[in-house]
Amino acid sequence: MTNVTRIKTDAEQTLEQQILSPSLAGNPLRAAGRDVFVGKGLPHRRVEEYKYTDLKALMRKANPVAGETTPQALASVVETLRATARAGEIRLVILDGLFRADLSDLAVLPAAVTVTSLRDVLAKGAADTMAVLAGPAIATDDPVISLNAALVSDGVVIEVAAGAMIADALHLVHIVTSATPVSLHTRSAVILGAGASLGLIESYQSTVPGHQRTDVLNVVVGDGARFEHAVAKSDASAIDLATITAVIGADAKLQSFALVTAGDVTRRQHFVRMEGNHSVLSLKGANLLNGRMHADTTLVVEHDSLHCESRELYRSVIDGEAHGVFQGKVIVRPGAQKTDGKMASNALLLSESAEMHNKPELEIYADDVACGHGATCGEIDEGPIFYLMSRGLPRPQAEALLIQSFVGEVVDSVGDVALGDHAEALRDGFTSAIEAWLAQRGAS
Amino acid sequence: MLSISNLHAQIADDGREILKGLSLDVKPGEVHAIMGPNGAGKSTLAYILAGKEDYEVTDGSVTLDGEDLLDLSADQRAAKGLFLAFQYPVEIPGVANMTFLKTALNAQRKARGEPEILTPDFMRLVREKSALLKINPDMLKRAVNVGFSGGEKKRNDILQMAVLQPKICILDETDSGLDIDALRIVAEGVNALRSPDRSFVIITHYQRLLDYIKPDVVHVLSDGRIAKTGGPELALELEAKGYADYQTAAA
Ligand SMILES: Nc1ncnc2c1ncn2[C@@H]1O[C@H](COP(=O)(O)OP(=O)(O)O)[C@@H](O)[C@H]1O
Ligand SMILES: [Mg+2]
Repeated sequence: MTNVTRIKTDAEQTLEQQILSPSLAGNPLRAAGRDVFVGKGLPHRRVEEYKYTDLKALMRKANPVAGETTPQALASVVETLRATARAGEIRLVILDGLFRADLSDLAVLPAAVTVTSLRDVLAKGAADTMAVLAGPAIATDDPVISLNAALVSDGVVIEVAAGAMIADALHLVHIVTSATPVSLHTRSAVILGAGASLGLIESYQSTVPGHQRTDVLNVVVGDGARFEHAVAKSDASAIDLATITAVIGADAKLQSFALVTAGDVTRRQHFVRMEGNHSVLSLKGANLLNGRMHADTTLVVEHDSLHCESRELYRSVIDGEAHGVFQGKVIVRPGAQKTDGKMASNALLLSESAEMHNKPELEIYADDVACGHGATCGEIDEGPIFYLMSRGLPRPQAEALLIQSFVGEVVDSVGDVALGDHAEALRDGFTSAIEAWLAQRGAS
Repeated sequence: MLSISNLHAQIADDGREILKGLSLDVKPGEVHAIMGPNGAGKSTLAYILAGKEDYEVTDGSVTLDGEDLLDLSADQRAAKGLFLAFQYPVEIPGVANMTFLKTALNAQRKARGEPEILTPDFMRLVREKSALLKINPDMLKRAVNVGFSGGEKKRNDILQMAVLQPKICILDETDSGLDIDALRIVAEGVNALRSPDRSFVIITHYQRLLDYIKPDVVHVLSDGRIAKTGGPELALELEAKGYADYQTAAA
């Protein structure tokens, strides 16, 4: 065996220094993550799962870790939070990498919901919660999850008691106040007891572009429980690596939707294990990319039970020199009979240099299943454009209408599982974000 | 009103000439029928008038009220009052019919420097026109032409025409795929729009539609040119004899 010294990039060297910093010593998630990261470094194009999102190349340098929030910044956050409070929505605030109970709407939290900071959970170290925070086995080898474990500063653990149907939506607000680009590493969990129901919204706010973020959300959906998740990713981050893992029990439902309209390099990866029979999974999203944006949607769905349904539908609209990536893998374990899986990724390329990489995969080890996937990639159809123009719509308006309808189909599914009461407001928010993206496109 | 003079046009992709010196003059209030064998270039003429970019005009001119149309984009022509009812109306998934009508009307008004239509006025206009065309409210809520039958698509195009109130209406085989009841409804819708300052060019393969919409002038288009022009009796003659006389010219 030869001893090859891996050449470490600037970013990797900085990240290692950060990982080895004594301030993180008390974190029990850290050890495993540290060893993996120090051993392998950032994933690059020769790592199969990162072939199209070469983080070694895309991440030239690592930002310093977010520091303490200044009193002035805190005051302005308090003001903004007060001004943007909305009925029916309970906000949980993660400020500069730390969960802030004092800024969160805990006063209106239903008794059936328990919210604890990740730091407190880690300090207690209860075995079952620690297992949730580590995520399912299909996710453990992922280098970004390891990096997150090694550097995680805080997050929030949300538990919903069995049978509790929570009508108000929880809203996880990620705020960064730093006036210079920093890095943030957060991890949260949602644990739904049997028959519980919860909707969770996530959004991101920052005052300057260029932040780097890893975030992990581990979800456990108990038997008969319903969980719906909706994310608007509209902040201009440099690197945003978001992971969602989920383990779904029997007769349960999970839906996760994400709209990405900004961010230089974004990867949203999902590792879902269907563990109980008769459950339904729905993963949906829309990516609107321009300039030199790079957005990667990676899914691994593992069916290990009977009669489950999974639906994955992603729509990408790619302009300028932007790159889209879709990697979707559906694994049907031996014995997971009657699995019904459908996966689709459709991309609309708006410019000559726009690119989309679609990589759908099925790994099927059971014989009585119905699984399929489809990936399409094309330009905007001239037939409908001419029809709309012949009725008086100028080309940009005709294109905008077709783009809106292309992504509208996935946006329309928001509210289907547990965010029903909020569906209209959420869809309006997503629609405005899409319109803002289109307006920016028209102006450029 | 609409004046086409010595129009030569080819398919942009392969340079094949389809229109070979076509001339036509439509005066205000007139209804012209254009008949002709399959492949004569009728739809091509309609598309070129509407501004489809698949074709290249190599010679000749088209003016509307003296203003050159050929330099204008399709949406600008629409705002000037030109409307094409498609031989095959296009499906627009995810865009509600009603939203589409309003967007189109307001886009045209904006281009003409007029204010947006008030919502109650718009609702009244659509209600009135859709009743005339027997379009049920459900069709207005559905996505444009998606899941519509052939006849519904044609009626929907005529509804757009009724709402947009163009100066010159070009109907490309609006009768094809219609049963006799639908044909009557469409014809009534068109007749209701007839006025001294609105003209029609009705492209059809069969004489049948002309029983319901009475033309002032009938042309035969063959091999990219107007081969013959006459009165309504020409349509009857074609119905009886077929296009055999003209087919040879096209071959
Ligand atoms: N976009 C196009 N590309 C290629 N060929 C075309 C196109 N449009 C029309 N043509 C050809 O031009 C000729 C005339 O077609 P068309 O105008 O549709 O005839 P009509 O409507 O009279 O039946 C046909 O040979 C048709 O195939
Ligand atoms: Mg035709």
